[in-house]
Amino acid sequence: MAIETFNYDNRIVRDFGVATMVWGLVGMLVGLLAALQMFLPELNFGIPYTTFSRIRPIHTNAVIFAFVGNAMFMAMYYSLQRLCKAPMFSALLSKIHFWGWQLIIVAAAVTLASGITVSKEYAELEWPIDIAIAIVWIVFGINMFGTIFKRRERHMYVAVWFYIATWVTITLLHVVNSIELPVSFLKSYPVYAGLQDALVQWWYGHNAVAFFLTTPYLGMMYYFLPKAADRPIFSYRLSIVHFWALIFIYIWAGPHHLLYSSLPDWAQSLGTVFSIMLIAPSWGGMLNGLLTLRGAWDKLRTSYVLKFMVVAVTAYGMATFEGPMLSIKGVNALSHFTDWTIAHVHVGALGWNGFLTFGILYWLIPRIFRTKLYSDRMANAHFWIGFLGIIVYALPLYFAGITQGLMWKQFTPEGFLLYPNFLETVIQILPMYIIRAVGGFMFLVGAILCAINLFKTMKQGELLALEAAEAPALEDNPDDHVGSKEPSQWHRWLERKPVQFLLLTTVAVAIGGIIEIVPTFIIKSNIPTIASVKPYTPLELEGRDVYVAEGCYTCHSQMIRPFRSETERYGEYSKAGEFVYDHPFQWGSKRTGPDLHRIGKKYPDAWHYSHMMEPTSMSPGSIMPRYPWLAENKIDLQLTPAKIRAMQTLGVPYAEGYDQEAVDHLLFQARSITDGLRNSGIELADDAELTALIAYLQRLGTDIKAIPQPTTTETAVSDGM
Amino acid sequence: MLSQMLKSVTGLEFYPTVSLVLFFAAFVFTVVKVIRLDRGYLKYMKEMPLDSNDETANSGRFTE
Ligand code: HEC
Repeated sequence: MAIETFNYDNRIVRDFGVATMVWGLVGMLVGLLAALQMFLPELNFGIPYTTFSRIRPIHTNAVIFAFVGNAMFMAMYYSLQRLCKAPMFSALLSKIHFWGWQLIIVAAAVTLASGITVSKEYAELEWPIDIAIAIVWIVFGINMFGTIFKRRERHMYVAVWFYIATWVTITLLHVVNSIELPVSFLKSYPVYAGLQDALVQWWYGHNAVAFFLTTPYLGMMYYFLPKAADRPIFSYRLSIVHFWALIFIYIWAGPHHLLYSSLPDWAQSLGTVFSIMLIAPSWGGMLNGLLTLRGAWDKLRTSYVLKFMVVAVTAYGMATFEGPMLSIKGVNALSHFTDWTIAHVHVGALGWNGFLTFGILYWLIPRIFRTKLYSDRMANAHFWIGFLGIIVYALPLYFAGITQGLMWKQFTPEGFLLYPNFLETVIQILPMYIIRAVGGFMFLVGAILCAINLFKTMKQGELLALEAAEAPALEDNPDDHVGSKEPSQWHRWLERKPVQFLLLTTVAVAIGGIIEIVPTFIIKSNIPTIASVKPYTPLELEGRDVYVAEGCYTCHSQMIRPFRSETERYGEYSKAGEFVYDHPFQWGSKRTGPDLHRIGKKYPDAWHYSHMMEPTSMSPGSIMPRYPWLAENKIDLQLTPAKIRAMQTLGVPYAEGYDQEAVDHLLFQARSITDGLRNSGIELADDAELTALIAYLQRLGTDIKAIPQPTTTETAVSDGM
Repeated sequence: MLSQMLKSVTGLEFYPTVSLVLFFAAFVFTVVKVIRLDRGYLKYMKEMPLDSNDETANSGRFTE
């Protein structure tokens, strides 16, 4: 029997490990800054680049794609080589993958800070970066599958299936959700509009959580938890069922982000049912992880690695129980748009992703550096401060979310809103925001301890860059005949064939994907056109782009749900037909400020001017940031005709040749606004961004005000509270 | 109006049913197959992460 010798590449593991820590600290620091601005908006330092609405996407992208992304590559590159008994397919591809990914992260940070964004959550990056992501992702895929093909181990361990599912599904999601029509090098419009765009986006958003934050981490759990505990996973049978059930169900649940929106009821119900079903495989996975430690719980006392991992798996269980609960319409009616959602995602992000990452880092770095961890005490301190940090972060936000949700819905006995001033409900929860920031700070302190500890560990040890290993070549591998001699058991067969496995995984996710996406396209032709809904004027379109660029959607929704508490506060509830020209949709997901769908004509132009320059001047105590630069910045009139043409390509019915008249129309409309402002003693340039933004805000939601309300048999649903 | 629109989207009401049936079929198939897997194979798979011959893993030197 020919024994082959080869080397595992630990350098690439170290590189991704270092990147994990560096970007982790950056992402968390930006998160802390955002948390502080929630009660101290001045902490944007008066400049656009550090204002909440721009750093919020930087924070989410950094922790998801930079921190979690690098961590998952680190863990995959370590475990895949060992599970396949083969070095990575190509050291060059590993390098390209590594540096490509880091460059994308830098490009993301720079563009997002500059207001270059598509504004679709967790998919904000503009089209050139989207293409770069696709290329690097494919490089990673080639490297991964190349390694799998060259393996010396006939069977693929369950962790590897999770990695494969991750790769396939993220490819699919990224491509479908990023289809954009470029207008210029750094500006594009999504091809989908309104309801359709929302459905595609949340199909993506939900499954990015599933296949970027969950499946790779489950694979990591299945590999590193047994390693750290030095005992095999509780049940391999359960892991097979867990895998197939999870990837099959997850992909359907996206519409639960759009409950009570203008999405058809049947799609909402589908989202709810599948979300609830998700509890089963999620908890199957959690139990499989936790029960691995049965009879060995005493190890927890001495091993900080296991402590981190157990908290991670438990947090996963909590978050996956809560998620389905939030998908129940009655609960969602209260929780949606509030801080409850933020608390929920942070249990997942800090607990599950954060703590599993730390556990793996503490296990892995000393090993590849052939030394012991620099300080066990520091690691234990990290554990406790991080653990408390999660609690101090999440509890006040649950409280804030429920409090504010209830306040929005409260009526006086006479039938008026008890808190008609939205700001009152914000000021009520400010103390909770302060405590939350303390929790986030504690978590960050823990992460800093971790970075120092690992850095010292690396310094005291020496990287075993190439780790010698040996294994029989695949042909002669006697393990091939492990177990019964019966030749083809279904799953054994599948595990031996990566290509079949890949195809079956693709089918499993594609079924859900197609069933969810096809209706989206049917819907497009079924959205009742509302005759009075007209395309935006060129000035409004430019204003809309300003709204997108500044990230107003991070605090404001444009989706009035059909509850009496919302129609009383904001006006007629939102109809699908009102969004047909919205590329991209701006429904938002969090109401730190009030809904803006019917803001049009609510206030005079001068109010908006003063409010944007200094929100507290119009709304004392407001935590909305100031946007004075909008009065200085000019819109790029050169680009306006191209934008009109792009919209025409996407089906917006501007008259033939309108692009040539667009700038004249724009300036004409702008002048009417600036003349009006001048009468109130305000000087604003015709082509200032603020002029366009005001035009857009004044247009919002007014189209259906123009006509008598369509006689509707539907009355607003009562609040279910 | 929304409900009128829903009714006009014909041919989609069966979607949730189809989804559930599909899922159920796939689920039962997997469970049956998994139950029938043999023990030797399962034991082999379970121990795969533990028995790698790499130097850095599982060497008692690094017990915490
Ligand atoms: C940090 C969160 C935040 C961001 C970002 C934000 N706002 Fe606000 N906004 C608020 C809050 C809170 C209020 C309520 C208090 C007030 O009127 O200032 C508000 C109120 C408003 C109002 C008045 C709504 C009403 O019905 O009275 C408008 C208009 C508005 N914001 C527009 C914008 C625009 C345009 C942007 C982007 C350039 C933006 N906001 C960004 C938090 C935010």
